Amino acid sequence: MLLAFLASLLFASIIAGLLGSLTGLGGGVVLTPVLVLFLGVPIDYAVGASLISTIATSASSGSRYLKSGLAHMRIAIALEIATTSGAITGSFLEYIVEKEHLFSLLDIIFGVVLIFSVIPNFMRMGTEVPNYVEPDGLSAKLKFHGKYYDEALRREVHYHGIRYHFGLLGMYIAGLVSGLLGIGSGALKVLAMDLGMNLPFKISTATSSFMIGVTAATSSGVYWALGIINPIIVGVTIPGVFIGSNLGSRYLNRLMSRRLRQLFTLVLVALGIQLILRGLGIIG
Amino acid sequence: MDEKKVISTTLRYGVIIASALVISGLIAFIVTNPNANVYKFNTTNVSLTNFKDPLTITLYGVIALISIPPLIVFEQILIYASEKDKIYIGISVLVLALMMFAILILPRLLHI
Repeated sequence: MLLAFLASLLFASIIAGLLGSLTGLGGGVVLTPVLVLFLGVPIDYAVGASLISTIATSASSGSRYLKSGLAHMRIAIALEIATTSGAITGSFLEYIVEKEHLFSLLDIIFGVVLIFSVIPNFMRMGTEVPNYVEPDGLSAKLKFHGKYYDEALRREVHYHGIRYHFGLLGMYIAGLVSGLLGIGSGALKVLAMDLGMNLPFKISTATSSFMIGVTAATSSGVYWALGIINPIIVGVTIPGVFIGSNLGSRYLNRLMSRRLRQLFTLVLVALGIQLILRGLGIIG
Repeated sequence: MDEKKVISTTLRYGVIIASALVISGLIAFIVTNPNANVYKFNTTNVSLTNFKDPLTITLYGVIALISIPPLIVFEQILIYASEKDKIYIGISVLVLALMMFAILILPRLLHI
């Protein structure tokens, strides 16, 4: 029955959006394993649905972060040179996966990336503001500076991004993973900005959310031509992930303790392991 | 020009328009094809010119959604042009060129 399948698809998308928001990883990276493991959706259609749903979530959260002043437009566009280049490489790799039917390999890579993506949730990020470091030549020229009011610290924080080349390298990898797996690669983007460019966690996460849509849209041309975007599935996952992410960010996130967040993160690790086992043919 | 407001408004209304198209097309499809096989339809076999097909409307919603990011990059070109910031005009043009290459040209080069 079509209606029953779509109802379970909507429910799964809302849960994926919710889990993505509560763990800070974004809905896309959770949507694919949920669709594949629980609803039996072929991984290529799941990856296509995830890519398109990611654009909608990024546009919505990007709009909010821009208004609040946390997303830094200049840092975003300067790094998008690398994310778009990476996305071109990644979507080309996705083309090879489709051509050669390497879906088991895709399962394994997805599982590994999912497990790797949760690492920031177990590090002491977000609690401290990095020490201000005088910018190097190119970073100074590109005006990677800004300020915001940190409510937790109750003071204005001044920052300046440094090591643009590290940022570019990290973003190229993030773009590649995004193009290959149809995810936003938010965790990798945050790592590149936070650890690579010495930006405060709040600025990294907000700027990353704003950038994700640009990266995902870049891969969409190849995905469209490959026929892995299913209009019925995306018709449900776009609103589903959107509702779940908004529920999470507006109402539930403030109730989340660090421990509870880590518990949800463990659910994602379990999904990642299941995907790897599926790819290896150990489970069905 | 309030640059953040321009882009934030584009993002917000872009998502609303795209979602409205996607959802209305899907609802019309469910009503007219209650027993359809989900996996029979994708971007290579649903026509973009048959407006009697509800999934065509859904696909236009997807196209609207995909168009939002290139549109905001284009807006940034205009914003940096108004600020006469040559470095960022160059960066934004490069990003838009990479996106256009990936969306419109790369699929043809791969003969998909």
